[in-house]
Amino acid sequence: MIRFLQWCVGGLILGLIIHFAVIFTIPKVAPNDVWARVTSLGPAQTILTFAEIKSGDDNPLQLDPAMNHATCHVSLEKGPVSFSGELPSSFWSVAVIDRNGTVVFSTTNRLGDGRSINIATFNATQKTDISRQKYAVAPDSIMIEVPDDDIFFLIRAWPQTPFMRTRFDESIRTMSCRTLSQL
Amino acid sequence: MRFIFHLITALAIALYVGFGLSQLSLENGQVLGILKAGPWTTQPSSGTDQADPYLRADMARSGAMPMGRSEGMVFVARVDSDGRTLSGTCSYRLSGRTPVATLWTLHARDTDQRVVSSSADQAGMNSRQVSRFRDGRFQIKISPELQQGNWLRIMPVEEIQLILTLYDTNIFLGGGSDIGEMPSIERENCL
Repeated sequence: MIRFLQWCVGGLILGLIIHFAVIFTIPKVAPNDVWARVTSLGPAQTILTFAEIKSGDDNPLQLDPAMNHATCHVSLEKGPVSFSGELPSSFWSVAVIDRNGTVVFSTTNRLGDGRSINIATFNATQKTDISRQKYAVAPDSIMIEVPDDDIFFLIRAWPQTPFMRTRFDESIRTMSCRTLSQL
Repeated sequence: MRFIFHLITALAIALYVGFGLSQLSLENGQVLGILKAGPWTTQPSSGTDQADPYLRADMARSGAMPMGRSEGMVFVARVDSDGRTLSGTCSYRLSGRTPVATLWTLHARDTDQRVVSSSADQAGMNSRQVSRFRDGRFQIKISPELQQGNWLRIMPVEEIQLILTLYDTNIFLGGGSDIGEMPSIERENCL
């Protein structure tokens, strides 16, 4: 009987090990994480707007149906990336998110004049070149160092009325998201 | 023979505990990192580098878009103020106040992440379209049937979740964990 209980305890301990292994492994192997979903929307360095979420629609990204959403995914492998442009005159927020789903930086329309935004993102290796002004960084840029080369920008903008959605999307599509050129 | 029996038993326990506990801890939110305010729950560390492994696993599994702390905070209600699971076949009265925020939005979804609410020609409601009492409180009727006043129409599905998103909110501004007053959700009647 004692031998049987020892095996049971062994099974319990092994179960806990399996449990922790599962929890720590899921973020690395999950096929439909936010990075996979965002990159499947379209090419890199392009502002991609999301379709309006209507009643009855599936919403796997769990976005807020009240908002206009847009994203742009980029890689910092070829150099620092600039995200800039003008957003509609309403509530909006912009987040810089890494491929693990961690928000590295976020801000809202409280920033500056409440319309324009200019973000320069770079990795630890590019930091020195940025400080030596080797890249054409706009002077009013918010400088964000990111831990991962793969990141995406997410824009949330609130159209006060439904008929403003199209105009908001058009306005957001004029924003820029590109690798900075070297001086 | 006895050795094989013991081995099979131990492996069965290990697999049951290992995968069962993982499933349990990721179902309906996480065991760790949750803050409650009445029927509402939120995960303040969601999308941050302080997120615990369970939250990271859940976010990766669900593929949900994270929200930065300076953008806002998402609250989810799966039960009413009496602890009963929210149903699309029942009518609810959501009333009270929210913590200070530039804007809040409210919508409902089912357990498959399908949006199941509508109001006027939108999929949800927001703080600018809600009529309020003199003291700033508001009341929203959430129901599959026509209601007077602020009405969030829901589809008569078995189980729903209410999503209240506070944008540009001052919650946790001082570094504490106090959420403040959140609206109550009272069940009125069911179909």
